[in-house]
Amino acid sequence: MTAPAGLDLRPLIAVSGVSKAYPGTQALAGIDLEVMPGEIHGIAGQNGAGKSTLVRILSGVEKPDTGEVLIDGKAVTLDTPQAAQRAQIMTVHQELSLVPHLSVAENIYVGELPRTVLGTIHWSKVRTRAREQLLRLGFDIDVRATVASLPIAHRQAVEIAKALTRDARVLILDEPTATLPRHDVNQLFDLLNQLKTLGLAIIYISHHFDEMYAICDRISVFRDGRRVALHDGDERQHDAILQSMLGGVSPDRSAKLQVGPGDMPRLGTGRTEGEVALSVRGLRDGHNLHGIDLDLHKGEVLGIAGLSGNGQSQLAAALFGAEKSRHDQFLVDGRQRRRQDPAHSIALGIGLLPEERKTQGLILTMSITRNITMASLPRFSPGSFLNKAKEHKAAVGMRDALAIKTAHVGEAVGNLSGGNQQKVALAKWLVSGVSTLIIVEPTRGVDVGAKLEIYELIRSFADQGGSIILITSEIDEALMCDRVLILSRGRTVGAVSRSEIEQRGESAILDRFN
Amino acid sequence: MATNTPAPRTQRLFHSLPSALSSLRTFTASLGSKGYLLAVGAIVLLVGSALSQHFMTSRNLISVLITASVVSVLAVGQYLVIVTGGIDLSVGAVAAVSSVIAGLALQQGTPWPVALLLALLTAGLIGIFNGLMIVYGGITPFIVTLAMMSIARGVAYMLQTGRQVAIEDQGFLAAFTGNVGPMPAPVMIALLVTIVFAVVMAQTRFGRRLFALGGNAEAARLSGLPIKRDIIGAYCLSSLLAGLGGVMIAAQLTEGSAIIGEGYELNAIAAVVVGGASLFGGTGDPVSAVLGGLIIAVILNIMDLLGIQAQPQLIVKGAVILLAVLFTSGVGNKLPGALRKLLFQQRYTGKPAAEADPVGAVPASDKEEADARH
Repeated sequence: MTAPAGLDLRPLIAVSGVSKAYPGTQALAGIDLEVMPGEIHGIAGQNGAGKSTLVRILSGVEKPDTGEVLIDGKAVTLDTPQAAQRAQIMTVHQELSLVPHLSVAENIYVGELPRTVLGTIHWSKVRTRAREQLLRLGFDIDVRATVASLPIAHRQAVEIAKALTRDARVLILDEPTATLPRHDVNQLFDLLNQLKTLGLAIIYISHHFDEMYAICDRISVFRDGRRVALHDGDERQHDAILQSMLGGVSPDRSAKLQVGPGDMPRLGTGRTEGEVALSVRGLRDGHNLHGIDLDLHKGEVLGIAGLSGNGQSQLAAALFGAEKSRHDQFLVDGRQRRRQDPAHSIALGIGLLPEERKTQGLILTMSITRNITMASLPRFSPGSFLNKAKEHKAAVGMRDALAIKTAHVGEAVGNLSGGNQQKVALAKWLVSGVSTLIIVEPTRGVDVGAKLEIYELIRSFADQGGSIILITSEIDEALMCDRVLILSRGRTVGAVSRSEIEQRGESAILDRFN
Repeated sequence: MATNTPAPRTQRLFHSLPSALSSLRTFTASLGSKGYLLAVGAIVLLVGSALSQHFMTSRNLISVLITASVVSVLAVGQYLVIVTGGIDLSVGAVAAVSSVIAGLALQQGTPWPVALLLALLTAGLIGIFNGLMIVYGGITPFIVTLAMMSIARGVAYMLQTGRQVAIEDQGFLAAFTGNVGPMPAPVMIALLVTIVFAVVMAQTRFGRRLFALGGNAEAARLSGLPIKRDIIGAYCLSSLLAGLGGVMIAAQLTEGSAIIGEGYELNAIAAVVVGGASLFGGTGDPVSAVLGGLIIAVILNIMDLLGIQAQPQLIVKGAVILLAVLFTSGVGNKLPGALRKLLFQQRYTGKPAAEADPVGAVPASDKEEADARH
């Protein structure tokens, strides 16, 4: 990559020591970031590393707890989206913020449509100007067409044109290619390179490394709310970038390593053969899953590792029967699964600890007790009447066993911290007595202390004979499993045995990515 | 100097009003949502007895209860749907269909318990149809029940053929308008329905599942709860209770008629909302819904006694709904601040506002900043 054009010494935008905490989690812990004029600066990191939080702060949606943002060396206050616009920072979001049923021209000038002397909208001017703006970006688009009728690449161009009409100097692109067909990506890159020559500072957030190497001058790597590394945007840096993103110098890594006895931390008990609890062949859904093969043994902790966005959550949903999928074989304890629905899976002894615990795992307005007994209500209500004393007892038992920090079990789950919420979600399955747990990213958004406790709980579940599928993009978590399958673009593409992990450490898994 | 005192005093009153209101809120909050409703109810009763000597008579109060009984039954049904995050706009029309069917059956000489069953069966089937359309048709409850409101009303008109269906069956009339012990039958029915469903919601698995469904349908589904069946069940019960309400009105009017129950769906929704339930689901309880309906009924009754015309009564009813929601939703706590913002902020920055500001108003510091820049 060429060096940033006209690199003067002062960054156009600088983020200095910005921190942001949400209840139970430190989303950003003192982030620094400098982007020069004419630079495209990539940000890489796992989900939950703090990328989205930074975007929200820079676009004025959230206020930082500490730290400041400087434009041309001067501190700016970004406490509303309007303030961010005045500071000439524009964000192109993952979900575009265009109005689908308005025309292209209207979208570009929405809110500041040119007027005629009579005060009505000067339509011809709106159209000519919008057209000129798009042509300058290299797009020949009918400005009278509605945005809904445009292909996504063109919508993005409209979004960027809209940003430019408001004199954007800093452009933030959050996963701009997530919904973009391959050949349109190149068109977007041409456009970005052109903006670069105009001296804009561009922040480019993506999960796709090949794109970042193609377009970014430098890449900042985020992990656990910190910038852990700054690399050149060069393919040769790939290993170093992966290292800092996945393992690297995370401050809580040493803490994690203390899990379990011996040199290597372990979640599992080492059972990788014997009776098969779950046997799946050719699992596919036509969109995100294209062929999953797996055998889960009784008492085994089977890791499924892969970078974010390779079909993790879809795999969990398909295994649990929460989403429709097809398969060549789906055996639970040697018998064919009959129906694809969560109730049937639970009856077969399978539970799901989903990634999105607030929207999928818990009912935040309900009490801890009610959440804990949710998946085993019949047991607590013989003859359909609830035995509340029994429910309370079970909840108190779980609170003590799992060390859920709360004054009383009647408290709404929404008031708990992330780690304690996760414990409640786990307690629901422990109470229901399932023998197989599908667990997705169990420690995301959970603080370090609670992380260790959750690992302990997973391990004791396996110790007592439970089988676990642990779907994770955290390399450290994968390393703690009995066996690891590699997930790539919706396929299981290989297995890593325990002995391989013990010999080669994380490179046993990292080498199989890409 | 004496002329000067009123102004400061009103000012002082104005300033102490918010704090008085907030201490009232703290007090009522400590009683829980039902305590709040009881407190408001008590105030309404006190105001009523102060304004009219006819108010606190047993004859008046019983007549209020009889009037409120049908809406109470409908409100309980509406609550069962609202707690799931849905809504049932068809209940008024279902009441009409049910009244016509009961009337027609009685005219044929059908024994009244059979006529009652026929009416309830029809109502229940309509509810199941609503539920099926919502669950399997994927249409939002608002649209499904809006359409059913029209369909059911049309069916009622076509069934009755004439102007109305007169009811002369004495057994039927006695059962629904007579006295049960000291209380009129409609009041007893409403009381029974309220108690049964209060128990269902608080003590049974089905009730718990409805709360879960409204609290977070996806989490409920992923916990293995039969959410499709429960949604259909909730709409079926709402319709059944609407059918029961229709039969009660038919007995009171001694006729089944297609014009029965016009607007009752809105009265039922108002009762639930004044009772503090959120239309997003997962909150409230049947008793509060009924209390909400009673408060509205008593306020309307007081205005009747004072000889206030029907038109201003509508305005007061609407205002009561708004106030109740403001206070039960907790927005009331933020209201003074929001009002201050609304009144004293600049209207529009003149600068483009592409992303809608969630608060709706830009803090003052922004304006100053913007002004300084221009």
